Amino acid sequence: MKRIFPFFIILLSVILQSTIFQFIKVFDVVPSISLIFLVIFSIQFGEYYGGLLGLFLGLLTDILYVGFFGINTLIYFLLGYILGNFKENVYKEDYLTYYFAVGIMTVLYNTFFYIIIFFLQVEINSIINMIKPIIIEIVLNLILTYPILKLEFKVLNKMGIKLKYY
Amino acid sequence: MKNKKIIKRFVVISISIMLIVSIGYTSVFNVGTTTGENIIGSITSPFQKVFYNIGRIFSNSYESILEIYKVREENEQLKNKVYELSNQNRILLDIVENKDFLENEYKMRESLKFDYIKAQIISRDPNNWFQKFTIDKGTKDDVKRDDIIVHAAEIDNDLTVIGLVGKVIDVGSNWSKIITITDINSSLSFRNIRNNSSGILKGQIDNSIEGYTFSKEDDINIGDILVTSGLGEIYTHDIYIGKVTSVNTESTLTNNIDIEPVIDFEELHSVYVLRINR
Repeated sequence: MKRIFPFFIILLSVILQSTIFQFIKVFDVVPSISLIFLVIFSIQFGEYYGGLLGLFLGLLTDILYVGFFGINTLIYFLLGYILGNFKENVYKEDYLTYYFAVGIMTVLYNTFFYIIIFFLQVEINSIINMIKPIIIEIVLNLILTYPILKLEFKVLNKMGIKLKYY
Repeated sequence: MKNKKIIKRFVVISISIMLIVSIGYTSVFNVGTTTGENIIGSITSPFQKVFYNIGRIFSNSYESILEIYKVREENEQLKNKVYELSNQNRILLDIVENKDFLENEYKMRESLKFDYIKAQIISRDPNNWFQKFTIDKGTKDDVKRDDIIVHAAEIDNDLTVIGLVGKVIDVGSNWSKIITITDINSSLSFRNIRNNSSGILKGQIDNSIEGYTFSKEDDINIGDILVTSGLGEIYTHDIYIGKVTSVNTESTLTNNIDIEPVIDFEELHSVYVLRINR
């Protein structure tokens, strides 16, 4: 149960993000809650979990939405794996760690996305237009990180999972 | 310990390479709907429908509270507009009925029959890069790839098309994926109804539409109404796309234009699928 729990959360977050969250767009930008969850779980459970969750999240998004298969899978997989490697070296009880990670991961996700799309020769003649949405997305993600983390810590407590201090 | 690390890296790298190959492959070749895709889509689509409707109800009630004061005024204006339009309509009908040559055109349009089905949007692409959404109709309802998606009003069993939304790119048993005309992967040809000049429109990353005319001599102005030209294999002719909002004549070969689509894609919740026999 404890092991499958994050996968359920990720599945739920993908569905919520493509449905309810589409109605609370700010300046046409949707916050990426599945990315936030991926970041949180990767930091807490390490690179195996991070990579697996990334694969799962990416596959879901790719299967349900995107035309080129594998684009999200690759990005989320690498992000989850890389972030999981920092498990031993960060303060997992400190909110600041997560804020920092969420901010950087949002930027990395969009940068990777741009690079892949660029090599697929999808014509984007206005990358400058994309900078504003990315900044808005970072802000939205950071705002949402707080309630999500608070909730997550509570759930972890209830389930009896203890985070180790480093 | 060292061995483990090497194996781990090997796995990560090989998965990455597989995914890169997959991205390349699917971007060049058209794979179509796979079984796995169909199954996962079919399982999640009912849930998505429920959640999407919850979101819609909340946002609708929020908006209606905000707009309650405007409604009466708007109603009055709309009533006047109806009178005005029905007057205009009568005059136009008079003209149409008196012109024989229009009959041929009318017959031609009659021959192009399509039936339609109403569909509801059940989810949107969670990513901010693409403009795609899924609807709740699929092969069960005879929806096919490349069917046209329009926004329309159904009055007395007759469909009045309001504007073009996009096309079907992928079909499952009870869901289909739609790509809108504002998506960066989408392009279509247009016709300017003022002077029948034509050109190409392409979706942009910021969900606007830009385009260009085929020839530099083509005269195009701000406010011109653009419809689909019927060139190409997918879109049928004369579906309303939108209006020109700016014209740039600096380029030496073409006139570049910006389009404001007639449809507000954010406010779109249900669409019509035109099932065309090609």
